[in-house]
Amino acid sequence: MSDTAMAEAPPQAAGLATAAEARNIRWPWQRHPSPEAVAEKAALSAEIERLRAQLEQAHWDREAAEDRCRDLESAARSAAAEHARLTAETRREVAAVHSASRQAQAQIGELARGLQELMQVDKTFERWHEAMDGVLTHNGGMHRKNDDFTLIVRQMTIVTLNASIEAARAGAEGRGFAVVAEEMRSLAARAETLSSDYRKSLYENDLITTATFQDLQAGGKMIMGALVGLDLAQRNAMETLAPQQGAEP
Amino acid sequence: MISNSARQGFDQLLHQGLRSAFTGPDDSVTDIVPVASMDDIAESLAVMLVVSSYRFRLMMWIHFEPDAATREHFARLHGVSLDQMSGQAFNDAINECGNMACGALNRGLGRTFPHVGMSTPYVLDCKSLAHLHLLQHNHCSHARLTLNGNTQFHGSLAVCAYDSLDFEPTAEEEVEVCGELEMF
Repeated sequence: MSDTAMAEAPPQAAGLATAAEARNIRWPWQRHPSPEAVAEKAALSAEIERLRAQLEQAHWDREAAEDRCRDLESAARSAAAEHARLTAETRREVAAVHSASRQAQAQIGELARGLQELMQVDKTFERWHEAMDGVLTHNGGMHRKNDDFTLIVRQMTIVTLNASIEAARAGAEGRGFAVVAEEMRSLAARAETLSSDYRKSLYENDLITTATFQDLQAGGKMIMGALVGLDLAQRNAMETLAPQQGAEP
Repeated sequence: MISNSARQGFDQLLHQGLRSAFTGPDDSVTDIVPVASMDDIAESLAVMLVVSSYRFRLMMWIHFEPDAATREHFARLHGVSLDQMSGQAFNDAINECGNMACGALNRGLGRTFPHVGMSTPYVLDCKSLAHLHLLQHNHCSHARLTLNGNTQFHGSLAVCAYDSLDFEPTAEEEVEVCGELEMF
């Protein structure tokens, strides 16, 4: 029997015990406990200690968990406040970006209109083309006139040569006519030189005019190419900015 | 003002241009050689084009004689009869030839110079080319293209530089048979 059982001996046993002590009598519950009872008592005591320690640890764990919970609640409140602040800030920034985007779109639109205007410079190039074509056609006309003039001068040379021959045949009477014929031949020779120089100048003119005209034309193409490139760049920029407007809050 | 490398580059582009302009699918280029002077070129007419940039202008000429041999070459190139290759058709063929040659130059130069433009062709009397010095060019070269061992054509170019020009010649391109007829 365990100590607890002995401690719970009937109340009338106390009196019996006193009497027994007087007569040196030992009742069963006053006998020494058995080794099994002692071992069981020790095991139970150890178990009680272990459970007590476990209970104490659980108590501390609960306290720590409650502290952690309070910390987390505090952190969550701070995070919520920060989130609200950042959301408001982001909204302000997005609004600013959209405003800048609209401004940029307006500026690009202005640039696009300017480019479209400037592309009309093509008409100026066409006008130059027509004017220069007219100059070259005019040069061609001058070539033909000069060729006619050269033919006339050659004919004049032949005529003056014939006149000189006829003057020589006429002898002394033709002397005056020979002087005139010689003078005419000299004039024809000078006219031929002049015509030749003029032809050379026309060929020079053809080369310089054509080179200048084609330089203007090619330069115009270069400018148009650059304008088309800029127009494409502004269209791409406009397309890049356009989706932002759709996403505006 | 024009580096030796750039001069070689221009000459190489002229050669490429001549190949592009005159070579058909049935033709083989025998050789392309430099010609020392315009005096060594006998043709009476030339189709002229210009490639312009704000840094230079390049003038190019394809010399030709409007004779039966030339007409025959272009008739074969365009797959038409000799009779059909006359008058306006021949003028168009010559102009297209100039466009193709100059187009090859234009494309080649466009790889180095971002802003270039090309003119339309114009036919000149070669007597005008005797006064080439009036253009005050900084570089001039001529080339002779021999096709199929016997047919010869000539091309020339002159470059006026308004800035220092230096670029590396590029590898010879494949001959492009497509035209680049530009109308202003």
